[in-house]
Amino acid sequence: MHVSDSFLVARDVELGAVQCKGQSFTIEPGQVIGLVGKNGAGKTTLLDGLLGYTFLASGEVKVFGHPPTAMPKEVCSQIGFVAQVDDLMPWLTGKEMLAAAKLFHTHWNKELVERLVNNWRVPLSQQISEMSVGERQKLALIAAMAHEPKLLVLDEPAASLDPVARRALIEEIIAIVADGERSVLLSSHIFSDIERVASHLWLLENGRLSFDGELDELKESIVRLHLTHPLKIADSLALTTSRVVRTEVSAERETWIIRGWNDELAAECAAAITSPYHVESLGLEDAFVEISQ
Amino acid sequence: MSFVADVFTRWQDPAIRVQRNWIFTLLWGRTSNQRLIWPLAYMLLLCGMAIFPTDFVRALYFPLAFLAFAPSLNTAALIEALGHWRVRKPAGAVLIAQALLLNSLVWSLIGLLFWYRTANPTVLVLMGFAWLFGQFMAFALPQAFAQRSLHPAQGHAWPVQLALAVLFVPLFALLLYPQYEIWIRAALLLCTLALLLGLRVQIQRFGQPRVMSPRPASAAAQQVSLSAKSALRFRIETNLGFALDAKGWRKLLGQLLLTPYALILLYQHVLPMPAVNQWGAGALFAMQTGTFLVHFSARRQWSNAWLSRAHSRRQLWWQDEQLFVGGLLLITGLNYLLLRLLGMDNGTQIMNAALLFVVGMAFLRYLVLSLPWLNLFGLNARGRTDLQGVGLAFILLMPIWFAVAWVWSKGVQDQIELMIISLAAPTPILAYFSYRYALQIDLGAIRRAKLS
Amino acid sequence: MFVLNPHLPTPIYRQIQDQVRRLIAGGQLAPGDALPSVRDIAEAHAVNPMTISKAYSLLEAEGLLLRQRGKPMTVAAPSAHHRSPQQQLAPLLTDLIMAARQLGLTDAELQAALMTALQNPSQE
Repeated sequence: MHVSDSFLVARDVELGAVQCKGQSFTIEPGQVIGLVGKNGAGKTTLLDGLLGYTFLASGEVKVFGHPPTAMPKEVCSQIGFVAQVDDLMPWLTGKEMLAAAKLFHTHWNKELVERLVNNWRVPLSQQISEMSVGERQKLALIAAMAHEPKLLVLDEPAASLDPVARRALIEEIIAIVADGERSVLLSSHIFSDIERVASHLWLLENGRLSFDGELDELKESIVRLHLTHPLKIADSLALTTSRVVRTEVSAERETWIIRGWNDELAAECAAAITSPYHVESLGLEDAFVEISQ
Repeated sequence: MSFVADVFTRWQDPAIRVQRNWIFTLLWGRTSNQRLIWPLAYMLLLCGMAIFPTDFVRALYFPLAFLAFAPSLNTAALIEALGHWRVRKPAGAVLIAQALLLNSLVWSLIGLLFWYRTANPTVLVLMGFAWLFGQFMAFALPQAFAQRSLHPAQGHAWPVQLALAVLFVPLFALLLYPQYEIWIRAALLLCTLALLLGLRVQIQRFGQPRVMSPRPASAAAQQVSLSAKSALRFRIETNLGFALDAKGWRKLLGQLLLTPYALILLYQHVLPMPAVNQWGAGALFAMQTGTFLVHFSARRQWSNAWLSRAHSRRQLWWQDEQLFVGGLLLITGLNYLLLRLLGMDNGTQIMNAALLFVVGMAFLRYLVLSLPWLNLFGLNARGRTDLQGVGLAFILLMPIWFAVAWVWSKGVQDQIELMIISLAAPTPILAYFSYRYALQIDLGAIRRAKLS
Repeated sequence: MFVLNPHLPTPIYRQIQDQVRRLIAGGQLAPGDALPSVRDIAEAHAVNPMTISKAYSLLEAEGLLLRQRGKPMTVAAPSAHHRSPQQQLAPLLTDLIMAARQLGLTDAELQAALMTALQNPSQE
């Protein structure tokens, strides 16, 4: 993939809690990237830095080939952003807010807006100050999606939405990326949503991106190895033990949490361990919990 | 006239008397707290009228007119509540009329006392007019008037503000053309009589049963038609922090123009203080300082403008400053015209004050925007609000304020010109510093501060 | 056509691969049958289209599916790459043997269990 096709390229980003020196990551067309990490890990800070809300302490970011703090107008129209808590102007009505957003974008998908407003039941004629949190979030989402940006960045979009609205949002995101020409970067702590909709994952731990790759890879690479006592190990398990993150030991069994499981390790274990053992794959949430401890 | 005859002949009717007394107490307030406070205020006012020196009593001329208007708010609340309960019988009209009559007798005591103290019957007529006008509006548009707060600027109801504007007309007329007082009084009397008739019609209508017109059910799927608001208007609203609809306009003009002008005119004509003979242009502009600066705080909205309405900080800064300079020149020009028209000061002073206002506002704004730890009238370089900044701004700017006021009060033309130049000189430099600061501003921090 | 659960430890592309293989082996998908498009599956199940596309690509690499320009993915005709029934059983046998070893069964015990199961197929 030629670098100039990438929507976003970031290198050595350092900003507040985010200290990714030596790391580089990109957003390619058609990806849905889930940004996960513990609260306070710096997800919002990272997003702010990537989109030009905040100046980086050091490092380089290029969005559509331009630094994010100085993008020309056409490039700005290719980006949509929804903050974690809506940042709307309270004296406007929903209608006025959308009209204002429409004013400043040349491309505006009227049918999409109508469909979303009706399906998501957003009370457009109410003042924003009188809307509930969920309604405001929906309004902000619609305003960000209406001009069909190539890169849509959502910071915890589903936090204030009910499950029906969350599913509707996921379906919308899938429709957006189905053609493979638009991308979505969303940060969320709702793993069930990420598992559905994300193709790639950025895992922010202690300020660094400890995982940057396909979601399937992460799921397959974190396993629990359940060993029974008494352990019978015929050969050295050097490779496996080097990837062990945590162990739990009890009377009859021992569990190793392994991060970086692959075929080599599987072969090594099959060859070296003669006592009964069992490899358990994990869902995303369990995997995240295991490696966060 | 049978209705009026009814009102008087059925005074002692036992069926009506109890309810009339109840409604009379309700006219003093809907809650028991209000019913305690209003009569107390009334008594205090009565005592004040009786005891205070005549000059002071004369100064209450204006406030009394508004005070006479205030009881109608209680009436409006009552009418609205009765409307909810559908107490609409012909007898009900008689009830209300009797209760109002009692109420008017009570409040007219104040007017009579005023007349007795100052030998000026105009105020009595004015109060009567204001009182009747208020009651008329309470019957005609009860929902609009049934607000809990007496403060006119807080009303969501355009009728209240319209009513106040109507009241302002005779008040200003009496103020600016005292030589025509007798004519104005006669005109007020005529209006009062007309209002009496109108009020009687309203009360009779109140007694008649009403038909509820049901609202049609809204369509299942709404057509989302987005009419474009002009970009300029949107930007102005972002600066103001509220919508520029009818209510917003009234709020803006009321705070910015109406209040200062009314106050200055009041002090110039009704309560002239010989010691303060510089009051006029200078005082007017001084009063507008805070209200003017407060309406140019768009920086708080920069965080949601990013990526949608603006793509560079330079653009954000430039848009804001365009509006500020435009608004400053507009308001100053408007004030200049108004001051000359109303003759509130001499020509040189008005020009001085106007120049000082332009230079001073620009100086203050760019000073605050260059020093991020200052916060003045909601204006802050980082787009946040913090009390510390307010305190620091106070401490820093008080000496400047005193210096300006001192030089102004001395009235020496050369010194005033020097002062204006000395404020104007650093302003472009400060503007440049504020520009440099704006280019580095952290929009994420603005967003977080807003929502914490 | 597919039953997909994004919350299982098995990645979605694996689930699709397994299900396509079973449908072909069982005959529900005959050569020439068209499979639903990536977009249709993504929207119907609310899962990411990239992972579905990956499954299709892997199946195409295996030779089970055929990609034609402008047409949906179709099941490929059986060819030399098509595995014999014994070949298809091979991964299941490996899994069975691994499970037996983990449980501590000897080869003889495994064979005995297999014989028993063959004579009395469990009805469920």
